Amino acid sequence: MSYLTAIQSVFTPGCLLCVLLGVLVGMVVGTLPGLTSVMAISLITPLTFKLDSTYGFAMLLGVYNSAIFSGGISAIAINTPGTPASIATTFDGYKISRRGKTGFALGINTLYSVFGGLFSTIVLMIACAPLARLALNFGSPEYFWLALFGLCMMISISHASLAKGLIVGILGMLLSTVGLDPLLGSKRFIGNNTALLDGIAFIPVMIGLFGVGEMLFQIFEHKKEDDAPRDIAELKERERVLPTKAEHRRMAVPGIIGSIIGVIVGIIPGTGGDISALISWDVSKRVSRHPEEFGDGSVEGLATTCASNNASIGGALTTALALGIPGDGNTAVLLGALTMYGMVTGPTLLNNSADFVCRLYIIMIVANLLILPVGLLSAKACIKLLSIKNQYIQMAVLMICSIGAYSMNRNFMDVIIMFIAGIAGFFFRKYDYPLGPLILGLLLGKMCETNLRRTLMLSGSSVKMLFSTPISILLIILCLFATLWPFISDWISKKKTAES
Amino acid sequence: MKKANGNTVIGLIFLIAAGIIMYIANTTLKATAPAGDPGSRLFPNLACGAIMLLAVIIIIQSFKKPSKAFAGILADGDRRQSCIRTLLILTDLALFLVLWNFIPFLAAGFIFMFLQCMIFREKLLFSVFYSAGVTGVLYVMFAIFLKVRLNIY
Amino acid sequence: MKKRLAKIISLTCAASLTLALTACSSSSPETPSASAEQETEAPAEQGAETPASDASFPEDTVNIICHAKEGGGSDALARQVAQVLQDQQGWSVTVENKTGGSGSVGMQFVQNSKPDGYTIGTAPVELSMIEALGYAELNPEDVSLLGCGMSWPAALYVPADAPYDTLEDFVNYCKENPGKVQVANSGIGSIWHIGACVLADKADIEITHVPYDGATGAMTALLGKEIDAAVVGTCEGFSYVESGDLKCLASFSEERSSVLPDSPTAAEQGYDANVICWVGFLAPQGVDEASLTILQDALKATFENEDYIAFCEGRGCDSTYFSPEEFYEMAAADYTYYSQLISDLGIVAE
Repeated sequence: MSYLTAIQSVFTPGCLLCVLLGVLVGMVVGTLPGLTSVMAISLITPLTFKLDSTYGFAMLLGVYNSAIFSGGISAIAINTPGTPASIATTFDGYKISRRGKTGFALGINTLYSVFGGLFSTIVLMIACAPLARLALNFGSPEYFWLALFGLCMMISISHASLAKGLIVGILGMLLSTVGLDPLLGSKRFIGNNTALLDGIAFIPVMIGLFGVGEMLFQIFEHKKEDDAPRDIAELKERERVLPTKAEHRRMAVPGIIGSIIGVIVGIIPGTGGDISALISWDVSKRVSRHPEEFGDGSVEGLATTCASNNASIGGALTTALALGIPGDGNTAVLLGALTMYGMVTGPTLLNNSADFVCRLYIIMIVANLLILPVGLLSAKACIKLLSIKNQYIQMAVLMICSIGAYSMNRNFMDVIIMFIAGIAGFFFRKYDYPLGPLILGLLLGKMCETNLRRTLMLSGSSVKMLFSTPISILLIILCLFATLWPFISDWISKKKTAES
Repeated sequence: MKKANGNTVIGLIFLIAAGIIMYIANTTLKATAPAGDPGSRLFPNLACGAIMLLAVIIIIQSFKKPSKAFAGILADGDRRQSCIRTLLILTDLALFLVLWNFIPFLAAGFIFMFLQCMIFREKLLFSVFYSAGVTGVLYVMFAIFLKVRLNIY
Repeated sequence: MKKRLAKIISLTCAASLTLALTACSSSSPETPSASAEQETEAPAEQGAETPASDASFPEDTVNIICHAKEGGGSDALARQVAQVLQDQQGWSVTVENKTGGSGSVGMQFVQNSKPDGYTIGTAPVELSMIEALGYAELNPEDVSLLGCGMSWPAALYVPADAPYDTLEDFVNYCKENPGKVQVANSGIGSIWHIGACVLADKADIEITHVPYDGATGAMTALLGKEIDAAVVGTCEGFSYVESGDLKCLASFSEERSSVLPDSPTAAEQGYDANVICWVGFLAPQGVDEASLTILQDALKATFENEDYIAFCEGRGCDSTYFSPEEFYEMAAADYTYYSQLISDLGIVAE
């Protein structure tokens, strides 16, 4: 592994410029809701063919890392995730932002996204091939239990009322069945409507629920006091972007937890930053000393989600580089780009193109390091931008959401879905129904159902296959733990107060 | 029904909707796949069943703890204004989505933003500039920079 | 306050109505003048050898609607063709993705779009299958085919340590264990699923078809040994054969695949199974002759371009050019064959 020559070829002005360009483009695309990182990478790919492979990938990896990081910017600023990977960032990030500390939240997003990215790059450098092989142990039963584990999180995010959280979550799962049956190809609930053949598109629902719904809610709940001028102390607090040492100490453990979970979930093909961020939020909440803050503006919650989604990039690259299996849509485009440059993707890549892979690792590090200044500067700029009157933001957000929902697939049905989801989101907010479970259900419902039915298909309708491998057993234990822990801990604390 | 409130209504909506969907599922979808394992019907049925059960729980809970989500909006002048404003903005959004299908995006977008400014009682000159500005910037970002065609018609 | 509001609302309504009227009226005069231009240019077109510099068609951006999502093979093809068209012909081309229903959504969108030649789309082999599958009322006769320049055959893969080394061994094993051998494919109703069905049909064996999410899903399952065998394309699996993780028992084509030179064809082993996945381009019906010819010629030049050929070789696909007539013949033949096969097998979406 010739790291020295790799460093020499990456640290040239041209290459660094390409990374910077990629980071900037990724930032624009990632921040706009409805435009995904996959779209950003696909847009840049044709431009990179004119360039040398190192320069081309400098741009592509810059876009990839930056798009995932900047999805958090709109999640924090306007409660609308820029990319699905930033859904969990809205849980705490937006609440912190509503308290006036937008810059601070954006600063955490920058710092911990870079932390997660660098962590996963180091893991990638050390253990790319063996980790990827481990991923092959994930078969249909394991995917089912993983999806179920993710769904068990619904219980954790339903702070207000368990029944409300679960009903919304199962509604999400029901919505995920609309479309074509993945194993039989038959139409479910769509009649002759071709616009819904691919199912209810996830991103318009996300934009409608989180963005439009929140804006309508704010307009409805607007009070005259919100428009009053702010005092000096509050203004000073608003300008702050960097966390203090004490805050860093609190965020260190969740950051590491998020990074580890991000890498692991990234490695598993078919799961990406969205699922890893949700799982790490849940896990961090359970081990935190202040779990009640989660969902209400906890810095720990924000740090863990930001680290997790960027860490999933390194994980996804593991299987992509070592096995030629894309972890998600982003890596699929990157693999296509590798083929364009004449490299054969698959298990032979690491051996045949070892030098190039070395350079990829260095580019990943450089891209993450470049996000630091760009992110912090943009945080400062965002503070200024968002200090305008609330209603100006609300108006613009409604327009951004509509355009975003449309630009995804240029399918007007998506905009209609966004509109309906927006109204639903408003009523859910009003009546205290949590939105997180619905997104979870929509995200994981299909994975859960498909893999369960496929396992039954493979084993001839016997459930033995579901419990046969160590990974399955491990995930089952995690599921039970996730479901029962809240009740057990309640019972333990009640016993303690009874004794004292 | 003195104790029936918003939560009850929502619970009822869930209950009835789930029932209808379950009916549709059982009449249109296959029960088993050719190989004998569960077919398309299993998941929707389970989900609808669970929703109906939870809806009943929510309805019962709503009687015990009546919610005051929309209580007293029409009385308080400030809240009434916010309520009307939300409805107007929603109508404006719907109008924009309809208009977008027939006239160029720049025109529909400008009208949408301008009407919003009017609903928020902004000054006329500021409304024109702000609407044009936001529509223009977004158009440049999406249509020109990212090459997403924004005209539907 | 109220009067002012009413005035402003009525003004904006009037403005929007005038805008709408002008927009509607401005769009119609465009097409007569454009087609008149094209008619006078057409005779000159047919005589010219280099159509690149003529300015008649296209004057505006050409949109390629890709039926598959970003990152896949068809999307890469669409973007590569767009790039070559931009470089070679100087056109302005964009690629949009409209996914769903094995390509139904994208292809139907093109079929229903304005036949002015500015909206074309990718036409996968599923064009010959979606009507039989029940996803859409669309078959090769309903669209104008522009040409095809990318195709690759199906292949049967098994784990490297599997007990069978040739297709014959595999078929015998299946005959001894009817219905027990599980074969992965890239999704119900996909070309690779049909490919597996063709094999089962020609070899007279009973296998269980297990659908996965795309070719990568099937490959991952095979590498993880969850499944006994997989039928996907030569492109998707050859790197695993090179690395020694998998064996390719047969490729379903007339000649050995260039990326799998050591794997015999099914025909060589006695089974006449020929399953080719092709991806060409289509346009809606009703595009006028001149524009159609320009599009077809431009695509032909693209498929013969060296960048494009290198692109296909890198992916392991065959870049043989099929002219619109040949393409139509191939699509129609596949349509007849697959319709029969699909209705025999009963894989119809209700």
